[in-house]
Amino acid sequence: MNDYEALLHQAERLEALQKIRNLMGRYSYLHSAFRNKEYAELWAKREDDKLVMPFGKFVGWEAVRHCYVDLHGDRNNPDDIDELRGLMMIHLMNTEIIEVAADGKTAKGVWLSPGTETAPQPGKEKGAWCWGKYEVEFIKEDGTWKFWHMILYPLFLSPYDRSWGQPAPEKMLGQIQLEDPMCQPLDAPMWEYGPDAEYPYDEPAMPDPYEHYQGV
Amino acid sequence: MSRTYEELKAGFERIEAAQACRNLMGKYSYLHTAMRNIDFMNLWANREDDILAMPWGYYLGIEGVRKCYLEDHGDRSDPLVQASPIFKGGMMMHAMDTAVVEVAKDGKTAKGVWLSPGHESCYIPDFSKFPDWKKGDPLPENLEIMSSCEWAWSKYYVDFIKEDGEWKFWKLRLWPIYKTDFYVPWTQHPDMDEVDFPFHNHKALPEPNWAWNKETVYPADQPEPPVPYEHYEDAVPELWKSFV
Amino acid sequence: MTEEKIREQLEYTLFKLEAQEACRNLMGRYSYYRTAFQSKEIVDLWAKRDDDKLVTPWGSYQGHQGIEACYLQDIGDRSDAKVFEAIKGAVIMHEVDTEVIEVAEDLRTAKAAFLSQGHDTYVDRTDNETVHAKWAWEKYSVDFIREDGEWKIWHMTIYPLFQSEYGEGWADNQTYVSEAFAFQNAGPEKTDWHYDRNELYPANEPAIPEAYVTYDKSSAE
Repeated sequence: MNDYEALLHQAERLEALQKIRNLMGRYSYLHSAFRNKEYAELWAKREDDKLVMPFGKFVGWEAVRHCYVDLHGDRNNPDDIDELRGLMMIHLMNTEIIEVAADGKTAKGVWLSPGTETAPQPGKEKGAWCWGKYEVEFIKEDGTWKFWHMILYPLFLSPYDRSWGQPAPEKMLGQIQLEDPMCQPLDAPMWEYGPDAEYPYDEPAMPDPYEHYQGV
Repeated sequence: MSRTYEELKAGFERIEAAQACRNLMGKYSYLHTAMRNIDFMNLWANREDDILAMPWGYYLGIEGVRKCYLEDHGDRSDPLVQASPIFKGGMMMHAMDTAVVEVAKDGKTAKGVWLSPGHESCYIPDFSKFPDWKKGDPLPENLEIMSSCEWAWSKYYVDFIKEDGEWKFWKLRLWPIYKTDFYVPWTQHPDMDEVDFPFHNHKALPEPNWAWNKETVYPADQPEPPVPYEHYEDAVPELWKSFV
Repeated sequence: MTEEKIREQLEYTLFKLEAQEACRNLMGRYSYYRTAFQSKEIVDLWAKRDDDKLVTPWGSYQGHQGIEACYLQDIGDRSDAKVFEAIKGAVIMHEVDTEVIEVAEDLRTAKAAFLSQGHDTYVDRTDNETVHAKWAWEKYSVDFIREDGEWKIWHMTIYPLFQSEYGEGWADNQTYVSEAFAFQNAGPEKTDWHYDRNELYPANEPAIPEAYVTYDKSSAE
């Protein structure tokens, strides 16, 4: 018997893959362009949003917005422009694994993110290599896919001419816990590459096919 | 032209298959970096016609693939791997992008190519102060450990097959592009030959890997992006003919 | 919904999904053919239209004839003996990722953006055969169009990000294309942005595609 309803559901889940891929792409382009107000709108407006960065944790949409718009800045805020000049932050997204829940309400994805950061900041003046990894959960809000939970695992951030295996003389901007009322301390220190470091077993945690997200 | 239910179903299955193949390459990358080679083995089809062709040599059948990943490489759970110099401080990372994926019209197989920018980072003994030391000699005293961070770019041609309802790796060719210390231009040390790798269970490659040279032209078909096809049997890549 | 309506919707969705795969594959093929100097194959990826357009850091090309001039004359195909000689030692490699792809609601066109980290290696035979090994990162804005039942590249803009010899920082390098290369057929329009520590990064290069109805009409209208 032809099960058109099942096919419709499968089609929706497959459409979700491109929406999610597009979300990660939009994140990259908007963030590089300091269009962080627009980027914050790509997040679900939920209190259980969670953004984990190398410098701290942000919980709830307001905190996520604060991280990007207030702490990183936005090109439409005249007060931010001077600090944004000279920043070229490029973060590619590749090596995807994406799984959309069988119920079509949530999705999980991981990406590698090779990149570069160039800025008039110590260690970045001539250019710095900056690689990281993403572990992301997405949720469908009012029919539109949105960011919901995101962990950015740092891999290395080193000046173009310095081995990322050598201990850096000091941490660079973005690597240190931030003192900010909306920035919570990390649950545990992030993994750091070094001579005694064992590469983590599951960072990022690779998604497997799943039925539904508990509690959603 | 409107499609029948069966055609629609087959069409969606093929889209799902393309994502399954992309997911497999992603899993390969993350598992490989984490040295989870037992888990990686589960992603391979359990077949005698598996082919795994690496920069140093090739392996045939699922047994060959096992030898490569579980003996030549080992798994992070192996005490031998944990004691090796690349475990602590090892980070071998190979991104996957620039995919061209074609799923057969019959939905049974798929072909794909990927570029893989990456790096291989570890800590190795610094023998520069001991120029007369050779492999097999006792390790010198006062041997220091130094960081070795290399950019490593490579590329893949992969055939996938659906086995018991799940997509699996079937045949994989990995070509090196270059692997070079981050401070050395890749034109100064482009080669990656059999001798550069400490593996033993492979068969010799039928011909040496292409390596950059002022006088050579980049190859036309490494990899050859797949084109749409109906049945694998009628479109077997030429590439595999020399891996027997 | 009637079964007929469901079937129509499914047909539509499948078409869109197949279009996304096709566009992604086109960019992948472009990358592989570009590195191999398989320029004839690249030309076949383009629509045969007078309104084709390619804008690059070294100049621009209009119409399918312009596309042919770029790839077959300015860059050249490896099957040409003179080109084959000239490309010895050249590896021009630009991977493609970070996609955003939107297929128009009318299913006739698609818009996309991509990032690309890469490296350009070549022998400058105008300068004592000096070997150059350079990092070269760039970005793409691409439109695709459906022609005779197949998806093709229609418009492409290549934005340079940075370029530097392997051992140099890229922040101070303002050139993206070496003067060792001459592009006789290129028009004057070009993308010649370079990093400047006193300037703000561009807002919309590449333009991030949004959902749209037809090529000239956005979904928001």
